[in-house]
Amino acid sequence: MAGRPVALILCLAIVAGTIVGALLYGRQARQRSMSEWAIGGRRFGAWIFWFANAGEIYTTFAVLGIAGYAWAYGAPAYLAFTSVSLASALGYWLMPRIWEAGRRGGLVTQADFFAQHYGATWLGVVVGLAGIAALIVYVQIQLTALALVFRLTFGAQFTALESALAAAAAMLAFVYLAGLRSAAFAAGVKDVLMIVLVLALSVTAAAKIGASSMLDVFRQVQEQYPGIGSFPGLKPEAGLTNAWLVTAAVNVALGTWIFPHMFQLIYAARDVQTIRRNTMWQPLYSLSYFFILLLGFAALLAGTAPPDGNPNAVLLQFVADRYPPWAVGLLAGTACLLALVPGSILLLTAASIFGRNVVLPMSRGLSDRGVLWTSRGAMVAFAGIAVWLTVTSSRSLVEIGLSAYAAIGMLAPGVFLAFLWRRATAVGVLVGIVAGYAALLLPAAEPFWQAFATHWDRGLLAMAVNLAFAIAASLLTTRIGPTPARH
Amino acid sequence: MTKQRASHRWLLLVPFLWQVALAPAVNDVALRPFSLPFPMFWQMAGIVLTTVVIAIVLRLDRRRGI
Repeated sequence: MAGRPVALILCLAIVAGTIVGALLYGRQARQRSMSEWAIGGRRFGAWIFWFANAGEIYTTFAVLGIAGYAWAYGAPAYLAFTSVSLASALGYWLMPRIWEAGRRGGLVTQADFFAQHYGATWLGVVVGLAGIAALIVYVQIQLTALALVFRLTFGAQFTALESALAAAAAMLAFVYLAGLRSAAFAAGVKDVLMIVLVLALSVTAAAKIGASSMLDVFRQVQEQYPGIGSFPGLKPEAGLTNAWLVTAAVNVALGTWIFPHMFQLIYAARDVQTIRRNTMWQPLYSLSYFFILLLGFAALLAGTAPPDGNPNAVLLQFVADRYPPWAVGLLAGTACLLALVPGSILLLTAASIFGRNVVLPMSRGLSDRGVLWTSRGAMVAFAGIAVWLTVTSSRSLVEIGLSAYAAIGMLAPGVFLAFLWRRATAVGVLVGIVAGYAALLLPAAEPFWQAFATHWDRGLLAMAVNLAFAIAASLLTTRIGPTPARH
Repeated sequence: MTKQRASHRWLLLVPFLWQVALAPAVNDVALRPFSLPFPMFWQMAGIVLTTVVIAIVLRLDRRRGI
């Protein structure tokens, strides 16, 4: 990459500037207690809630991942258009219920919710560990992207392991210094930067590849690649059919709020109106995927050839090929924030669950501060596991993302049943989780799915198995512990 | 929250009908609004529709004091 110093300096300036700003913003808040660190003291108003929410949606998965998917497959990237709107429509109904339970029970984590609603501390431990597993996969997405940006910006002299370690260290440093409040500020900065940058790139991309306008890019790409605009897209052999879109879209919508960090974000809202208004406006923001797809298609028309044909690197490669170094620096810096900020929130969430729902039940009498520091210690281990996953796997960001949704989907039946069916029991939920994981992970299940539901999203199938077993087992067991509060 | 007063909440299923249930049906429409592939245009329209639907539900909720 020519002009690397310019790109490098800009990239570092953006990251450093945002982090310093975020720390100054978060400093006013009391960070001594677990609830301030993890759920912002339940005082998030409209703006900070919006950015914290959008910040979790617009990660490297959304930008680098979807652009790469559009480049590699075409239509299957439309999955992005369904992700926010469907989650919002569902969230309008679901989020206030979660918020209400959180406020009434003084809940901080998602595992708290399970433990309290089903009256079983042990279920909190199980759900906590399952949630941490899904979060680590989600951190893997961010590390994969961050390591990629490091390698493309700083040069290939770094190995994959070195870049992943550096990425994890940056993430940990940010969380140790900050809490949810600082992260929400940084999320706001990176969202504004990303929107401005994506708009600027989109406006200029057409001219760079000899198209007369943005819409002309779409005309040309459909002319040169017939079939790109409808399912199954450019590579029918990949099995990304209509059936895949339908099932993956539903699975993503059902899973979005089940992620432990989204649960905690819901607790952080000041009131129900803040949540409802947010679900109304949030979908419009996802129209910005139009520009992400545009850039993916422009890269395809430009004949962009990312290193090793890696779709995750397409957007960065396209900009490196066709734009001046300062634009590369801006994109690299923004992409770093896109990975760093959500990644920190994910680690923060995993750590708070570990402290509260796994360590605390096993060693009663630990002070709030003690739990806080145990949590922070555990975070390093989680980051380490994520680094290991990053280095040993080479899938596209969207594929890793869908497996994170599959993992978190295992907790969805327990959440939905809590609000819809009073007879659901803790044992029932546990049996459902075990059956769901078996359907997801056992090699024996795969030929069965191949035969009966060929292109269906495996996460949704496993969730259905989970639900069926949870209901059956609930009917067979009596409730353990006290009758739960009505929501 | 009685069943009757919250019946308008079923409107929240409309985005799922549009973006999921009808997606296969519009996959092969040859129309190219604004040069865009029809299924892409359809999904973007679905996003706007979702905001409209949620706005209506929000308004009805407020009127009914839920």
